[in-house]
Amino acid sequence: MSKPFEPFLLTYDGSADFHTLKRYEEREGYVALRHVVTELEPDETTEIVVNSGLRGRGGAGFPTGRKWQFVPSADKVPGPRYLVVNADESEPGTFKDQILLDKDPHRVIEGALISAYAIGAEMVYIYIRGEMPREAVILQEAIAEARAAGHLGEGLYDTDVRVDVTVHRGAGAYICGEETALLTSIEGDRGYPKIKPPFPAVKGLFGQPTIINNVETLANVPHIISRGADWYRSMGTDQSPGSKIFCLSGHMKNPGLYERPLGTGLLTLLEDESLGGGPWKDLPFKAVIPGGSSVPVLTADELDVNMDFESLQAAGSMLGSGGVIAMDESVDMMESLYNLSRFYHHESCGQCTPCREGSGWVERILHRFHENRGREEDLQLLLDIADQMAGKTICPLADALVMPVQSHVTKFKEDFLKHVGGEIPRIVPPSSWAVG
Amino acid sequence: MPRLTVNGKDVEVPEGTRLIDACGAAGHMPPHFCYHPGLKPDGNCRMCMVEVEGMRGLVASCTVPAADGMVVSTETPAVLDARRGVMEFMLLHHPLDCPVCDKAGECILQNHAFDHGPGQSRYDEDKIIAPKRDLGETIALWPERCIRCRRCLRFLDDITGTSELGFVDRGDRTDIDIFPGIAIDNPMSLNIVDICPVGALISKDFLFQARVWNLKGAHTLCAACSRGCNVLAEAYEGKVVRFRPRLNEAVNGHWMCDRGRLSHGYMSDPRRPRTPLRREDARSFNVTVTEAVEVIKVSLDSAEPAAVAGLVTPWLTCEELALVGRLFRDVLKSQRLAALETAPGEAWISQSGFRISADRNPNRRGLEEVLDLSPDPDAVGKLAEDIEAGSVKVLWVFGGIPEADYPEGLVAVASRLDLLIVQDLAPSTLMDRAHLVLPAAAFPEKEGTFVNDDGRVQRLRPVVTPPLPGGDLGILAAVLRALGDTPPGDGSAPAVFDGLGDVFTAFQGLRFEDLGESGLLLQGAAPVHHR
Repeated sequence: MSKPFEPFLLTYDGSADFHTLKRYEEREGYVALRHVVTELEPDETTEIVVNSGLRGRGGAGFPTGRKWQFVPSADKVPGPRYLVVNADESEPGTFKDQILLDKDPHRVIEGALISAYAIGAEMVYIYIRGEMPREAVILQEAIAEARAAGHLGEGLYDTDVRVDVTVHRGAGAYICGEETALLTSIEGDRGYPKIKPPFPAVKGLFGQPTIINNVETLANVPHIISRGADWYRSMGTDQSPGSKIFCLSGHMKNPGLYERPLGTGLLTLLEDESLGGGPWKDLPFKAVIPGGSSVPVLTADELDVNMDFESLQAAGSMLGSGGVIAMDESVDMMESLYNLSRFYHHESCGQCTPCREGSGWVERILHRFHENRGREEDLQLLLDIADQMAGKTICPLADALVMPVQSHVTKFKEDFLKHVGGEIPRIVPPSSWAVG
Repeated sequence: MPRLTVNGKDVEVPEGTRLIDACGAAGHMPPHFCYHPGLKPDGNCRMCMVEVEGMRGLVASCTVPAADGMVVSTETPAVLDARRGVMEFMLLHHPLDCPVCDKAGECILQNHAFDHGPGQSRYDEDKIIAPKRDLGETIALWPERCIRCRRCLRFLDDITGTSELGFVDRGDRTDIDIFPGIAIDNPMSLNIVDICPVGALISKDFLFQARVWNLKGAHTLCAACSRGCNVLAEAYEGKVVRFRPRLNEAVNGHWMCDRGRLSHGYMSDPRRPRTPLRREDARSFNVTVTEAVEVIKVSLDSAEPAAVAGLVTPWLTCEELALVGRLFRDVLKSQRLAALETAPGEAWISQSGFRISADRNPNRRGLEEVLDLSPDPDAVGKLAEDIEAGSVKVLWVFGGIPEADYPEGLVAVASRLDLLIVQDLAPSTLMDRAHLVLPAAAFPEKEGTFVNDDGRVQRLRPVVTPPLPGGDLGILAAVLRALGDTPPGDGSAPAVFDGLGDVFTAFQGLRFEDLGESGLLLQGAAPVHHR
């Protein structure tokens, strides 16, 4: 890299009023929105985002601008369009959207308003996770400020553009981060994923064309509008341009949020003194989950990989939401999987048979391992169950458990075998864990 | 019209057909739990998955429309493996209590477990247990048997629109339940017992009544209102124990109402007359059919035509009405026929358009067409007056209304008659005064036809035998023979029906054997819906 990367998403300076409109306007706040509304056609706006190569930051990495282009024209599907902001960040190991909502809510709102303008939506729903009450209040306040200042509402900047924002609080279900379940939840029904097609872009919220974008994705949009697609493409890789907020957690010296260009090496993230700072307590890394709890875990030998969509896929894992969970040699990977299985069993919505029954079965088997009552043949059984769950359900929640099961069991078989037979006592955490 | 290939077989289906039905049309219906042709597809059970060339992974065939050029395989190793997987998952927590489950024998889970299951479970953990509980007046829930297919919820959401049931909790803790203190209460509720693919929802009416493989069934009609819903009547040891709806898109679709479904108690009422009974002076004694016919013949022979009257109901079949008309009008030359009816009830239309008629008489249209007669209290009143005046001496009552309530004016003058013949299903004040009691047949004991309020002629088929061999038609034919007449086909329902076309234009061209499973409209029929 020729010149040092300068974060533009994570710019929080520690000041108490950083989230206010006044401070946001000092940071070129709502300039991009004013520019698109007064000077650009919706199509031109979309084109800039298409050219920037921005990809969804919620986990799937779908090109954002192309998604917007899926909204059918008004003569094909008349009626309102909706923009929905997915702020239901619940993936274990992921905490990037929360900080954006907390510290830079206007950036998210501005991104959402630009997107709404691009797709012709007059209503934006921000679906915020139930466990983020503080962020919901901050968002509400920010919306009120923006409305008072004329950045949203009727007749935006003396045009006939009209767009409003509503904050919809979830009730704390992981499944509602899945876009169709999220829409069902806004509609007032049980948060069940729906069968696609029809895709939300054609038939979404209240049966109307709807675009759902992640918080971090939208926070990128004002910058892309202001500085141009080429600027955005100057960061990251050819296929995965731009920067990404990485959520470092686990056994690192400096866990936290770090914004770096896509394609940054995982080892750099983990070990650079200005980033993760290497393993905590100086035990070597044993395993790293690179993209939120539902992606395949990497072993210590597989860490030499770049953090972009393509490289991680080639390495047999996924970039996902960018939640990097590092585990050192003290970790029993059976317990890691048991913990994850408890989460996915608890959060399975119960609609599709394989996920509803499989997730509970996996947890119950691992519970036996946890009590040192495992059996060697259970490992094959776990893989069989994973096989029967993989790709056979309406939404990807089943696969989100399948990938950890498959990667944990195949890559860390010895950790599971330690729990077979009921003879070996429970593993006692090393004394070095005692925090100081 | 999309053309596709299913397991190498070409099939053409109407636009909008679901892939699962297209496979069915090709003779390869994929096994399924949550899909029901009368409900919107939900795609949750994952049992109906098939392989489609060019589509990634397996496809739940109930969730995709059949498209032109699809190449579908329903029996590939991947499909069979996925089915085995779903079956194993389905049975993880299932109590396997088939020996005491009402659904056993007609249980989709049981059938699929035999056909597609792995035969044994690798599940070695604790099963989730839950006590059974009440969901309302007519329905109980065995939650452990539930497979969360949502058929019942979808029915109550989309068909009745009453939404009494919902899911509580999620994942494998998902449980069906009603809102606290609010029972399932709608006129079609018991359909959810039929569509429950397992024995989770149980009709209290049928609970522990019979093992279903011992039931004898017949495709007949419901008689509870003038709609003529097509039903499967089922009997155990000669007793009707269950009605279930039978598909007829032109009438009832897949459904029937609770009132009709539960209207079988009177058929096995111990007080129901089962042999002819003669009452003479203060004595009463059983007589044979032959003796009864002789009594009737002697009495009719000696009576003036104007002194003979008949009272009918819209519960008689078209054929019975035709023979009544033949007896009174053609043979006896009497014009004294009047009709009684069941009091109207409340009409109801479900959110999906399923209709319960206010008219509780199953064959009003038949009565109007065949005898040109409508139930009329005034005509019955006039009849009572004439009996009192002594101008009517013989009255034959052809009842058939369950729990009939005869007008007091008629009952009061019954003793003035020389001969009162009451042919009915249940004891009544009028029957108490009859000189001759003839046991009538109930509708699941009859062969014949009803005409519903759309003017659709539909077939009744007997599931149990009537108390008297040949039923009401048999008695009428015997009396006609005794009077020297020759009823068509010796009074068999098909022959009598086929003769109707010669007399009534509405029946022209209609033949009994052509009525089939779903009936035919009368010529020039227009619906008459009583509200």
